[in-house]
Amino acid sequence: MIRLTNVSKIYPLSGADSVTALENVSLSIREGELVVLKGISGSGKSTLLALIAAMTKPTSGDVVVAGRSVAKLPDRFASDFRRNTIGMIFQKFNLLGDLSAIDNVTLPLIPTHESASDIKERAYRILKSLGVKKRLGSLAKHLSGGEQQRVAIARALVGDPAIILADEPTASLDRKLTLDFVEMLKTMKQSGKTIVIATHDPLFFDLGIVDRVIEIDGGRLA
Amino acid sequence: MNPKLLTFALEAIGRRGGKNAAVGIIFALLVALLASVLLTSRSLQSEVEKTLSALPDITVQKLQGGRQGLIESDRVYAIETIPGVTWARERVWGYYYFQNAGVNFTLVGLDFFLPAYEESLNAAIRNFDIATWMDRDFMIVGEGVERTLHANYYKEYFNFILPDGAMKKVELAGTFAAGTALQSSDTILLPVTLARTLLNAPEGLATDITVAVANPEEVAMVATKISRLYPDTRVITKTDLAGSYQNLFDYKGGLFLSLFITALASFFILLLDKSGMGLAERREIGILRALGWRMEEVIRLKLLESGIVAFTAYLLGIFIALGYVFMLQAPGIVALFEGYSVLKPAFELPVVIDLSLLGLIFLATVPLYMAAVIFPAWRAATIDADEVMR
Repeated sequence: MIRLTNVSKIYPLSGADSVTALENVSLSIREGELVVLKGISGSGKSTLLALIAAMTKPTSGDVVVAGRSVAKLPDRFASDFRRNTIGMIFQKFNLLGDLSAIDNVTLPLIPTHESASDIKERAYRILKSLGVKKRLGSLAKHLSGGEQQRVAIARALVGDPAIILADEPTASLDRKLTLDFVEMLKTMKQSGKTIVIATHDPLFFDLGIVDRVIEIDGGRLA
Repeated sequence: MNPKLLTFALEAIGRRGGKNAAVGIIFALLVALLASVLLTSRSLQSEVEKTLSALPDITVQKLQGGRQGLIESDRVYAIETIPGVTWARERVWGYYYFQNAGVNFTLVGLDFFLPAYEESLNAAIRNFDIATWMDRDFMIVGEGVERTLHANYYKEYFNFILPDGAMKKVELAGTFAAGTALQSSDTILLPVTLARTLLNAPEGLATDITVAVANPEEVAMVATKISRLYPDTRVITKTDLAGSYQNLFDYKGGLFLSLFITALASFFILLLDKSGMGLAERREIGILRALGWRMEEVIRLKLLESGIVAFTAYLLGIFIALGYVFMLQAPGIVALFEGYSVLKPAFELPVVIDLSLLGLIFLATVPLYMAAVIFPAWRAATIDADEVMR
């Protein structure tokens, strides 16, 4: 499902300086697998997720997702790939605070040809299943941390993607909400989605539903 | 057009209501300023064009010591012998300064029993029963003059002060509607003998001579012949006058436009500056890109947003300008084009709405505004989504 071959990512800084976020990384993740990327902050976990999501291109190497080399995709196709194949849950959720919960969820599908009522209906169903039914019309900035996270998960699921990428999804949540998230993960895994979670939360390393833990250190696989 | 995108754009405008309102109001005021000046200029130009079209083909003035003096009336006979000349007529006219109001009136002497040299003057007196006034000193005045006289308590007559200091009572016989406001509003029509008395123009002398030429192609040649016949005269053709008026509009309009372009450029530079697209907006673009929006979809969204704001502000600016120019009579701007407006009675700007002018204002402002918004949006959308969000 996901295969990285000798992938390096170097971010240029001002002048001749640069930062190597990933160095010669190769890994593969099978369809339906739940993989945890373990590593401290700055180890390269988020960059790895961004590469899988075609949000950035590798400096060298190849990234193949669902049979397509996303490293070489032109921007237009990379966008379509993200919309159709990837559901992304960001560390700080990245909701638009001035939009309602349901409008945040429908955001990825606005440019599509699906009717507004169909999209709303789908968003409603997902939010309902995640227990945010009563706060559909509330502005995202007025939601609690747990509610914001559920809205972010609903937004990742609304396009029915094959792959869910979550970047430090529990970093700003308390213990109870973290455990709630684990429950949601179980549901997602049962529905056959491939899930990659980048985290340094030890809770995830011993979870029964996790198929594999991959450790990253200084941009390299440990 | 994706209706969801339009709805989202409208909601986005609302979300950034404060900023959009502030930018929109400044933009509307700039459009209003530009439209006010151009609409005023167009309205005045239409007045001038109408006035010019009513002017004789050639006007002959006598020069004395480099200034205009009275011309011998009998020169009309010699001028009429020039081939191509349809007719030549003397005119007795001049200005009368009304000190109380601080305005100049234009006195025009007419022989009420002969057709006037200008059709507009004939139209002005057409419905006037001249026979009932022939034994009295009377005048027919333009609407501007009537307003000024009434404001100074002259309802039925006016006391002119003659050049020797004596007073001359002249009855107000009627008012004529302005065919063209610039030409007629400040005009007083009176019998030519009375005009000679008020203007101190003795019999046998006139203010100038007007000449009609049958073939417009021959006007310049006839003018040259008159100059040769009377070297002490200044011969002005309608084309000369049209040119000098056009120069005035071009010069003053150009002066304003250069100042306006400076103001507009400053506005767009401010808009292009990072304050134009704040961190929140760039982050929003990054999120949309990360969620799978194509670059062209982000640009389309921003085009809609900026287009709606700019078009609304444009319409607002045009309505402000229409109200300012045609309801309030463009206070301040009329003076820009009128050299000595203080000395003239007020006149009404005729409503001339030139759609091509409005289109020109649209093209000169709205696309620029949209470009100023689109450019930073495009820059944000071209950066990797993960980088925008970092």
